[in-house]
Amino acid sequence: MMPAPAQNTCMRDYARVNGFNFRLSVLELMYDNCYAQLFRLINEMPSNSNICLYSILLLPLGRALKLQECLKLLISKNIKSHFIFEKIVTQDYIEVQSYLASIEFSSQILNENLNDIQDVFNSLLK
Amino acid sequence: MDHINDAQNFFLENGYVKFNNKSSISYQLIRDVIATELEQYGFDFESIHKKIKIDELNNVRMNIFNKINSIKNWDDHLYSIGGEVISKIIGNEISIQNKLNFSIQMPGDKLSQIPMHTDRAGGHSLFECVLWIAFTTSNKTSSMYIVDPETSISILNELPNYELNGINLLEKKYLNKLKFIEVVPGDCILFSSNLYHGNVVNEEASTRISINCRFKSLWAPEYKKYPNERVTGSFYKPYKLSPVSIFASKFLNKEPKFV
Repeated sequence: MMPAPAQNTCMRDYARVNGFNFRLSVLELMYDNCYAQLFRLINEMPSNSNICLYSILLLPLGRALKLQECLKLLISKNIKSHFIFEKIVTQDYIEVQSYLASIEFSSQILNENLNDIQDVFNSLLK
Repeated sequence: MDHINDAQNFFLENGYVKFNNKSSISYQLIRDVIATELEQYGFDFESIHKKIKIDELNNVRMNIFNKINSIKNWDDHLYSIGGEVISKIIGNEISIQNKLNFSIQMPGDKLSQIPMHTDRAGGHSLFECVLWIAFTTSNKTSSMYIVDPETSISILNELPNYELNGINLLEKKYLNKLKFIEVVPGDCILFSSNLYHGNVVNEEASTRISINCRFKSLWAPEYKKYPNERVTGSFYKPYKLSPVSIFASKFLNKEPKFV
């Protein structure tokens, strides 16, 4: 993942180019599987507003319940999401879900392929 | 703090210490740089909100941030303001954050709020201290607040329970534990990265202007999880080294190699 100050610069520039008022960015806590700052931000956002994340991968990927809760909040508040790295601007959270599912799927394929390769090596070494 | 030696005992108990160094030449120098940038809006920092529009604020903030960071040897100036206390609290071999941060909190500005947080949960070293310096008289909601060490530990323990419903509820739960520090120009607060702190929407009639920068013992552990983040090189830079460290550096990677 890109260092936070560089992400910040991208978001500041994105806001400038698209005519948004940039407020202070929020940094997630460092703990594994922690999305406390993301939920805080969405909980505090007014309806019909915009949220900007450097990447869609900052959503609770691989944490199904947290992801569902997050998307439910975004939908209920009619919040538009801007994912800079993926160039996605959307309120269609089914699209977001399918995008995330495809990322998980491809990472599983990659892992399985690596396991397959490891199996081939293991069989050769026997 | 009347006596510098009291600073250590106060810090040990509270995790922070407050002192004033308004008479420092370096404090005046940094203040002058800020004042020059704000000149078009008037000379009274505390009334500056009467002239600056909210949508101008971020540009003003960034301009001043750039100006104070381009002061030649800004780190030496900063250390000359707080160094006597820093050396008592952190030690004589230290690293300094590589940027000097600038804050301006105008009355009613909801966009500049920095909610309750602790730097250590953001990946900073547990052994870091923040030096926060006021350029205005500020109290109550116009100032910053600090949470005491015991409550800070409780909040850390409770964080996972509040993840989905919002850690702002945790802030509300401990509202009576937020201690707003009353400051006058030149007041410096040196506080541990482990203490929860932040600010709320400024509901007073005056603007608060402050700067902050982080220090840690040069040899104190840092988080290694994100190697490009809050570590020496990208976030801190070595600042004060002892003769023995400088001397020893000549011997780094000089081990004999046996074959």
